[in-house]
This record gives sequence, structure tokens and C-alpha cells, in this order.
Amino acid sequence: MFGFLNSYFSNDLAIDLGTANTLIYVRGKGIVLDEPSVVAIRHEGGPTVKKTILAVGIEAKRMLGRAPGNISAIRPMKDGVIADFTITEQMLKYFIRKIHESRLFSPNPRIIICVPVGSTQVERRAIRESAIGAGARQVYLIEEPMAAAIGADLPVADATGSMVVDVGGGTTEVGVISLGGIVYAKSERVGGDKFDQAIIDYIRRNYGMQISEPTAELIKKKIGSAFPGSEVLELEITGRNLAEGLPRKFTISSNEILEALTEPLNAIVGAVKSALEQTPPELGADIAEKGMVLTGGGALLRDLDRLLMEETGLPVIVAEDPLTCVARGSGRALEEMDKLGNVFANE
Amino acid sequence: MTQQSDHTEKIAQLTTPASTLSLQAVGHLLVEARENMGLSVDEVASRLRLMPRQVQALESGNVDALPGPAFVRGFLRNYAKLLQIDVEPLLEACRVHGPELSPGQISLHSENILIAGRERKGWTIYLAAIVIVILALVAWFAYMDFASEKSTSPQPDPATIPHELPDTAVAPQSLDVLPAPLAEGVLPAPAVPAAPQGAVAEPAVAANTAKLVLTPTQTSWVSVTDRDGKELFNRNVLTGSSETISGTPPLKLVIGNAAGMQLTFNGSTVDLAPHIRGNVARLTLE
Repeated sequence: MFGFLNSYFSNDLAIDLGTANTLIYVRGKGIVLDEPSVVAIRHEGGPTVKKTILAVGIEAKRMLGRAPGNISAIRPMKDGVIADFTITEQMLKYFIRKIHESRLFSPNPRIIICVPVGSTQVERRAIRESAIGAGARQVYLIEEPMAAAIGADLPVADATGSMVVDVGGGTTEVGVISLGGIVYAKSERVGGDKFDQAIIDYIRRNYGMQISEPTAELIKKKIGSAFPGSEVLELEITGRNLAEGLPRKFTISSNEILEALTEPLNAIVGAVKSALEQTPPELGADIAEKGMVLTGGGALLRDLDRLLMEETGLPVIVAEDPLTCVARGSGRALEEMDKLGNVFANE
Repeated sequence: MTQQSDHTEKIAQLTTPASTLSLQAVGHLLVEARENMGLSVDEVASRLRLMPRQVQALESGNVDALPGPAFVRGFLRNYAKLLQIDVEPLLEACRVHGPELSPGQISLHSENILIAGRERKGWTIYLAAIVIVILALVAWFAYMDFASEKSTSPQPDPATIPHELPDTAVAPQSLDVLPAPLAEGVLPAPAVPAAPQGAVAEPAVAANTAKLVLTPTQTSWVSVTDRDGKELFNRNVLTGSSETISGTPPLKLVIGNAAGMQLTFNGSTVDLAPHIRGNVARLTLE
């Protein structure tokens, strides 16, 4: 009954609920929030035995790997889907409250939320339910490759094939889009997290050193690359020597990181190749002319476009501002929500 | 590195603060940088995995031959990276002079014609409209009926008077009961203009009042209501007695123990048998 009133008090939102980062786009305003999907929880002792949320987002991320026993910093999303339902709901609720200035009315927005294309019905239902639990009036789902393609300004509604490769924190989504719909899509549970894990494993194996996830992420951002380049970069890092049990400094080079990343990179290349194999020839011809577009945080890995170019023999371009592509794309879907029918996903 | 600084200078020469490079100027820069590196169009094309005609289109500033704004910008960025030149002025030129960056449609244009046989919505709307109209009409007529009944009831019904006049006048003629002599006086009235005034007035009264005679064979309870709902009579009539009631017809009668009641209405005997239900007769006499 008060639906029309609610639309005055609550802005509609588009949320890119990612494994690594959560971005929120507000209708008419653009992207207003970009924070890590991390929640820090404190277990209180004493007479009031309860769990409370200590921090969410950037604050919480700083606590990752540094927290004492009674504080646990957790990432409620894993591989693009919800790993901890309650915490995800609380995190969403926190973010939605944060962007709503008005405290008089509790926010009650319509929400578009992204889901990985390979997610199961149960996983989609979980995402929908958590958004409703966080106060959404209505929830619409959009598949990530579609959102990424819209965000990268590809001609999604034209009768021409466009290929988008979205390398996110938890998943890599490959999609071939034509006439406003997804012709072929494949989701591989490989992404930034797997890169970090591969670096950690490599260093433990070859150096006998234990490093933390934030350090692995730093290495990846500073000297990580996907293709042997002309210049070799080096970085000095600190880890715990497994034999001695003491912190030690050591230097690692970009070529070693390249070697460490071989396995997850091969999975991405495999996903792209299999998408190209499954694409109808007419669309394949379009893609051969235009190339594929890389989006997502993984697109920032040095020379990932070069690797895909060499492996597939097709032009590869990196979208502008790849980190926010999915959020901008779902934002555009939000702006035109009332006119659209076919870009949204079914449960 | 020297190459790059050369080009930065060149761009600075070509760009005045107020204007940006034209697409042709961008093409010239690309050609120059490529020739400085000693690369041919084919080599560049094979490195960028583009077709030679696409590279030529970039170099001639002919962006219409390329797939679309997003791709033009991507290709330019890749080309600039290969030639190790600063891409920002080139992208700026593309933004200003290139094809509209206005985002294209994101959903397919549809004629929105439903396939036959599934258009249910319109049908139900029409049905609902018809039902509402019918209900409104029924309500209107009911109201009109009610309103007219209310406004006419205190006055004598003009339609019933002429109808009743011959009725009351003729009925006594055929039945030789009490009002027979009265009727005889009435009938010749139109024929004899010399008839007394009172004779004319009397049938008018008779028209508005009806005479009911109750002669019970057993004691029974009788209730009589006239046209205006006024109760004329409501009590037991004893055996052997006789009651005469006069009132404005139609008269509503409720008679208990109806089997033991004989009724005369305006001189004619009324047969109660068809009205009896469980020894109670309910009837209306006009």
C-alpha cells in the first residue's frame, strides 16, 4: 500500500556483492560505496556472552590476519556465492544503512544484485533471501557477465556477438552476449583469491616460508604478471620461516610469481577457449573482429590481456575502470529497470 | 624512453590548451610512432591480433570502419601500449571527435505483440467493466423504485382511481349483496344529469374505501392492515358475532383459525382455501 511512498524515501540500489569487494550503485547518484567484503566479529566474554559485529569493510579488512583470539575477521562470500548467510545479511544491512542518510525511515529499497552465472538455485535463493533480510522490498537478480558487458559499454542489444571475460575475486565468468541475452556463459571458480592462494603455496613450497593472504595480495598487485614480460620486477617481503619459526625477509621476482600463477591462469584460459568452442560460428566471427573484453579486478593483473591474446589469437581489450564494470552495468540496468525485461535472470 | 618524450613533445605541439587532437592527427601520431619503431602495418596487425584493415582504419582516423566506441578505445589503448606512447591524449581525441560514446540500448527493442490465444488480460478487463455497468444499472433502478414509492405513497395513486371506479361500480351489479342498491344509483348517474350531487360524491368515497365483513363460525384472530400500513383491526372475533371493517384497499389480512371464518369483501364472498397455510391465511384484497 505504501509502495509508492517508499520509492520517495528509499533509493533503488544495484549491488555487486563480490567475493573480494562489495560495490553499491544508487539510482541517480552512481557508485557510492566500494568496500571489501569483510566482517570482523567480536566474541564477548563476561556476563554478556554474545557475538557482536566489530567492523565491516575497510576497517575489518585491516584486521584480517592480525586479530586476537576473541576477534575473527571473516569473508562471508566465497567463490562468488554466500558462505555465511547470517554474516552476509548483516554486512548488506550495514552497507545499506551506511548509504542512507535519512535515519527517520528504515531503508526499504528495490535491489538489483549480481549473481555468478554458474550459481545454483540454492545459492541464488540465498543471495535473494539475504538481500530481503537486509531490508530490500524487492530483489532482482542479474547475471554477472551481462552486467559486466553493459558496464563495459558493449553493444549488448545489437545483433552482434560480444564476449566478456570477468575475472573477479572468486569466479571468472565468460559470457557471449547477443540480442540482449546470454548465448553462452561459463563460470570457473578461479579468481583473485585463487591467485593469492597459489602464491602462498608456491612460496611455502619453494622458500619454506609462510606468508599471509594480505601479503600474497600485495605481491600479486605489485609484481604479479600473466605473461613473461621484458622487465623483471622484484619485491622484498617478510614471512615466517617454517623451519626456524622466525620472521625472515626475502626477495621474490615477477618470473617466480608468473610460475606460481600458471595453474589458475590455465584454468581461465581453458574457460575462455571452451567458451569459444561452444560459440555458434556466426557469433564467433563477430568476436574475432571485435575481440573479447576483460573486466573485473583480475583484468588488472599485468599482461593478462597479452596471455589471452597469445592463447586465443584474438584481440583482447581491457575495459575502462574494470573494477567497477559490473557495478556500473547493474547500475544501468537499475536506471532502466522499468523498461527492461530480458536482462534479468530467473532464480 | 626517448621515443616517448619525443611524442609527448609532438602532442604538446599539436594540442593547444583549448582544443584536442583531431582523429586524423591521432592517426598521424600512430603512423609516425610505428615507423619510428620500424614496424609495418602487417606486423602491428599480427601483434595486436587485429586485421590489417582495422589498423589502417585506426591510422586514418576512420573510426566508422571499426566495431564501436568501446572497441575503438580498447584498440587504441593496445596500440599505444605496443608503441609505448601516452594514450590519454589519443583517448581524449576519441572522446571529443569520435563516435558518440552515449551508451547504446541495453535491451532488445521489442514490438511487444502477444501471440494470439494468450491475451487474457484485455478480456478480463472488458468483463469486469460490463459487470460493473450492470451492477450500476441495477442499483440505479432499485433506487428509482424506492424513491418513487416514497414520493407517491401518501397521495392516492392516480392510475388506480379510474381503474377502480368501474370495478367497484360493476362488481355490486353482478352480485346482489349489500351495496347493490347503491350501485344501481351510481350506474344511471351519467345517463341522468339530474341525479343528486350526493350520489356522485358517494362512489368517490366508495372507490377509496373497501368494506370487509367477517362472520366467523369459530372464534378466530384477525389482523387487517390498509394500504398505508395502518392497522385497522387486530383482535379475536367471537363465534356468532360479525365485524365490518372499511379501509383503503389493498387490505392485508392475516387470519388465524382460518377454517372457521367466512369473509365478504365488497359484497362478494372470498374463498380462503387457496391462502391457508397451517390454519393461517395470509392474503391481500384489492
